[in-house]
Amino acid sequence: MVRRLGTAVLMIFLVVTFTFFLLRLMPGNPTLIEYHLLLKQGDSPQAALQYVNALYGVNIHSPLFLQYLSYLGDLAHGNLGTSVLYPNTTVLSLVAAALPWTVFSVGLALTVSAIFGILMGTVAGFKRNGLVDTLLTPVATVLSGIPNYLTGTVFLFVFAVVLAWLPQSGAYGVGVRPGFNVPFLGSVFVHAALPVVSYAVTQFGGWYLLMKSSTASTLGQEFIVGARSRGLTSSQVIYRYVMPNSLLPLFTNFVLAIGFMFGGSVFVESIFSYPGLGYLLNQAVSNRDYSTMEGLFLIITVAVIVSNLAADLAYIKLDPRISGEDVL
Amino acid sequence: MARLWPVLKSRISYLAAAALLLMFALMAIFGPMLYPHGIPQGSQFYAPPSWRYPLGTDYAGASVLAEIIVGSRYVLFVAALAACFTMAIGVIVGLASGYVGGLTDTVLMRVTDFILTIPTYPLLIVIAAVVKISGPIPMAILLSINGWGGMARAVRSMVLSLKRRDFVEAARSLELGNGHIVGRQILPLIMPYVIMHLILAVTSSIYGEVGLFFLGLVPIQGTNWGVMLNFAFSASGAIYVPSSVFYLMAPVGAIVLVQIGSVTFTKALDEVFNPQISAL
Amino acid sequence: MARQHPITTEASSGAGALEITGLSVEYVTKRSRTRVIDNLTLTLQPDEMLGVVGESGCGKSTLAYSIMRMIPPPGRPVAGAIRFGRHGDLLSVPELYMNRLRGDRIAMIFQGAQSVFNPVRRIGRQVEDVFQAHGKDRRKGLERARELLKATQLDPGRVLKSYPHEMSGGMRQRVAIAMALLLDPEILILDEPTSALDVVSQAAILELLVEIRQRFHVSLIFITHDFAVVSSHADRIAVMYAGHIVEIGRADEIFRVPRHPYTKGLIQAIPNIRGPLRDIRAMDGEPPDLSKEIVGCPFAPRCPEVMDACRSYKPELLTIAPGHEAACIRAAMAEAQ
Repeated sequence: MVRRLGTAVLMIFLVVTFTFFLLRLMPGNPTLIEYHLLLKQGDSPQAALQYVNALYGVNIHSPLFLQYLSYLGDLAHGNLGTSVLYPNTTVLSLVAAALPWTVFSVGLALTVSAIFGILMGTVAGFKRNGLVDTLLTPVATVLSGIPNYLTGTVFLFVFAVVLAWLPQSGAYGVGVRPGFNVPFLGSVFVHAALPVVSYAVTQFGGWYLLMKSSTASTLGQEFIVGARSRGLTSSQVIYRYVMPNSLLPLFTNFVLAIGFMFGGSVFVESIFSYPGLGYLLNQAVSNRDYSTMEGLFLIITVAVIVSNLAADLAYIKLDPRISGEDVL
Repeated sequence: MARLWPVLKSRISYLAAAALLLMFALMAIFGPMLYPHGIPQGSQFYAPPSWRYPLGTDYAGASVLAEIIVGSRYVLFVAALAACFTMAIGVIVGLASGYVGGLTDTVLMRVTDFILTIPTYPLLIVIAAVVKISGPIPMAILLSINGWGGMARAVRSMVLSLKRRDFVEAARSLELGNGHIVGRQILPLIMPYVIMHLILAVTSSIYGEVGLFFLGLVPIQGTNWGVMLNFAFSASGAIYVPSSVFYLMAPVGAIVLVQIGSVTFTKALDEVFNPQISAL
Repeated sequence: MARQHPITTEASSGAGALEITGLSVEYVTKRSRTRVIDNLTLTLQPDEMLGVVGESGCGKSTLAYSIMRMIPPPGRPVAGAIRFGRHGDLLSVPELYMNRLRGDRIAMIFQGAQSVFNPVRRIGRQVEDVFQAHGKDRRKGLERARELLKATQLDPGRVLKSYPHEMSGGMRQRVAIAMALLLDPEILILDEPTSALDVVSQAAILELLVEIRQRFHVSLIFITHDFAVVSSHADRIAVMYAGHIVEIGRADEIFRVPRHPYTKGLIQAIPNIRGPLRDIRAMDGEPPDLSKEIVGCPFAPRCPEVMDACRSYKPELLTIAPGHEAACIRAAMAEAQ
């Protein structure tokens, strides 16, 4: 347990370091570019230096190692720097504003796709070569590999443009007053529908295939024969004997998927101009807002590492076979 | 390879998948030669399909089919290159880790874990934003930068189990040399796995590549499927015009077809390499 | 649980026995049709212990699964009947009714008791499941489980709270036996209950079976490939070969004067010292391929006493002494003289 925690902390540290040096050692060091850009624009070296310093919180003339230390120090205080795109706004507050939208849409999509995938996968696992299996397996195999920008593009075009049933962009309608009221919540769900479906359709295939194979392999185990020999009812066998065992391996995937969908939110949120982390990252990248980019990348990666850790820890709790044993 | 044909013949879907992939390969190699004078231009924007323009025309009246065909070369070439890089790095790291063992193994596996943890798309986006990517080779390197982790892990575990097999131990006791053992005895046995995953790596490279073009993070040059999607959203606004359906759906359809072909063909390969599994 | 079929549990009036007549089981695939049990007839007496012996693949496990009506697909019974007292033919009762009999009137214990329990559910909960499934009070069920576990020399409190992986193989097999007895079954089928265990646990399980027979009114079918195990514990022994019973009779008599050459071979293959149990495939040759039609006696190709007639004529089970039957031309001829 302690070792896993240590690994996670080390990972986070490595990511921080990696991000820092990626942005400074790569040929396109943004701080230097900015600096030279300012010089070209006629700023004095002094003013340019000050400006860059204010933007990135780094002094480009100080040794890289010292820059790194001060960066670490800032991070320790939760300071991710200031946005270039939105002056006088800290990266942290940008993230704080975007995060709920991503958590909401990604979480909803994950839940919906997992529920459908698991239900259908269970049916297909029980009835191999049955109707569900024959119809859904080829579809799921293709869907599980399709990137979500394709589904996003198709859904935007079909449902928001051609049919115009759903809004094309944004998180809620213009003129709706944010707060806990019915028009706002309704607007939020209507606006989230297409992004959520775009994620969910691509995720569904994976859940379905995983659950199908997990169910089939659980059904092949001896304890199912044992349970039937004791005359257990079929609902007992399904809900208490098959599903707890077939769901167990999927649990890890579920927690991991949370982290990875944060990464995948760039495309869908850009397509629907949905103001979450991915949209923010795309905005930061296309506007060369490096400090925001750096902060976002860090936060997304840390989310993945933390969900990795959470998956490990929760699995220990869930599976009696490993609790107590190689925990330490 | 002699075993491939009977398996392909056994199912129509396998044959169709093989034909589909072959068609895309031919399209990438010879496609641009079909249009020596550039992409045919019509006068009508977003024209519906016709004999002259089988997939209609785009926002500027250009033939969509021609764009797909001409654009396939860059997309597929870069993706194939990236897949080869990915496999090469994965195999080398996995071999080194599994065969040499010890500290090398520990270090390489830690690096692999690290690579596997970092989410792919954000990493590609951040790097593409910082580094100027131009030309197919840097693009392919970028795309392979964190796809090799799974391959390295798989190769390592295969090597570990092969190392304990009799024939490898016999070769070691004969002091046949590491190069001989790895090249002649271990590599041939893991090749089937590598080939199967090479195809899947091509499709995932296509996704990364098209995604980067889609977001406009790599310099737009010429025509390719990603650029078409990008233009649909940005320059032309085709996505907001219902009549652009053929222009919009053409690159989507091309990518989905490659995906269907790859997945099905990989299944056929799986049957070739693991006959006992497919018999079940 | 909508409808529950009432099942009377009072001691049956002498008809608790199982009568299998003309049972045939086939595994049918697109390419082949394998007859694993061929026209088998067998009667299980009340309270007796019947040993069923044979090499792997002779159909003895399929026989057990047929009685439970749990033959794994693509296997299915194609002919015959399994009469179980007032319950009628087990092969034709509705599935719901059959399921109520499983674990209640007929219980089964498997070779792989290591993995016969749900790995993520405590034993106590799995005991409760059995009572719930059969519409009985769970509280009383746990009481009953405690008694039985005590009888099997286990600590009931600990076992009921345990997960299966927390127990040894021998312990799990004892728990499996206790669980099979929860509802006082009339028939208990044991499919190689000791072959996955070490020698010490094997002896303990056999001892436990002796005790069970003293305490409970239960008919036992003990399936094994090991003649030595059943010869000292069973009342009667049925020897199976290629889907047929080739010899059946009182255990001591079969052991003393085996009539079928196959039985003789099995007995000769028993190691002299009761040491670690060996597979009895010390006999020459292989069992016949059941997916092909067999002409004559199925044992003829391996039989040391084979005659010309054996290759063309399929012998039926014939009584050669009171309560002793064998399916062998030579044995029948010897009797006739």
